Amino acid sequence: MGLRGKLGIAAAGLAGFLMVAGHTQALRATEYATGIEAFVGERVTTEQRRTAAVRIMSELAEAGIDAKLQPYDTGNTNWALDLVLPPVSGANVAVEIPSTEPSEQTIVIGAHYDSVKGSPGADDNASGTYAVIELAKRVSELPVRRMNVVFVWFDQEEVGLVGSKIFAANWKASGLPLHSMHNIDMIGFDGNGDGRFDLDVPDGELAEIYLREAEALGIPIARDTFNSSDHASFRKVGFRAVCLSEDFSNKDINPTYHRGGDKTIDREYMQSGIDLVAAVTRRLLEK
Amino acid sequence: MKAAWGILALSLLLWVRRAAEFALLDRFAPAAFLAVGMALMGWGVVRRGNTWRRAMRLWGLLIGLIGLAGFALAIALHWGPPVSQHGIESLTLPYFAASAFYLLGGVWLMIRPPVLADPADAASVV
Repeated sequence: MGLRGKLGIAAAGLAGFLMVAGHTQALRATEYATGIEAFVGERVTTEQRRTAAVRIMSELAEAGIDAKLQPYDTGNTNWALDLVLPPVSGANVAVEIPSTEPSEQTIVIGAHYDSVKGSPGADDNASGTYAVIELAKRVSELPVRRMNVVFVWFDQEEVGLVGSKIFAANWKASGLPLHSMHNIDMIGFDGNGDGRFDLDVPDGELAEIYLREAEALGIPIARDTFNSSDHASFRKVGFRAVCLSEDFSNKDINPTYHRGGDKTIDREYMQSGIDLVAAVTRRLLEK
Repeated sequence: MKAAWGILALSLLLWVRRAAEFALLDRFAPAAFLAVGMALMGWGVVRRGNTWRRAMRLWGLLIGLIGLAGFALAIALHWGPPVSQHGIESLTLPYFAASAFYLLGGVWLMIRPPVLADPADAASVV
């Protein structure tokens, strides 16, 4: 074979390699979307939820935050089902960002990462899932933290706040003090564009801080009370808990809520929700 | 007759396992179910004769109903609205095997309960 022939084979080989490499890279980019897109998609089956949990940990790992899976088993929603079905299994994802000076107090910031069947769950609750990842990154960069902050992504909220009930009960049983719990559920839809959020916050110090920070950021707030999300699990065992959500009290509700159309997120609105919780957290950690 | 004893032993063993599994999660319905079964058995052992057979038939009825409930739940989960992902994912081979065992074993115990030797008969043999 002459020199031309050898060069021809080498060129063909190189072209083939580049094609395969390019194809592999394209596949990787499609299979492993990063950012909030990674969390849009049904998260109902054990496999789907586990994939989402791993993605949360991967997102955090890229920022040098080492979150862990907290698997659990618990009883069925109805005691009679315990006679027939096996225990319910799930897994929360959690990470503690320790205080920069000795402190026994902890703030918990969380959101659920599962969705309902038949819904990609962008607003409910990829928005909250992503918000808590973003908050974990921001808090880890704060130079001063006078309290520990635990970030937690709850499993199985949609089937009865299962993950958060386990987490709150375990915290209560540990006897460790908990300053407050901050839950983010559905902050990705603002139909009328007024930027308003629903805030379920107990009266007192926390309400004052939230309202003051919201005012400073120019975010309108509607005070509301609801116990349909993970913060209720903490209240049930006696902890102070807050929930930030879209404007349910003024009926500015996502029309695709729990439906197949829940595919999009109002990023600007979500970002303002993240900014609000970040400002409140910073204020609490500076105290 | 050995089959009836085998069914009784295996059913009790399975319920001890389930009771322990759920008791560790602070859930006690399976333990209560097992306690009812044990109470029935204790009652049968003490009174013997017809009482023992009645106790066995009752235990057979209870586990038979559990087996039936297992299949009814599977049908509801398969053809009904998707109310429980956990339930759907639980419909595995061991689930159906256990349900079939409870249903068939329960019927067996009702029809042919194991015989407990009467102390009077034992004495006469000696």
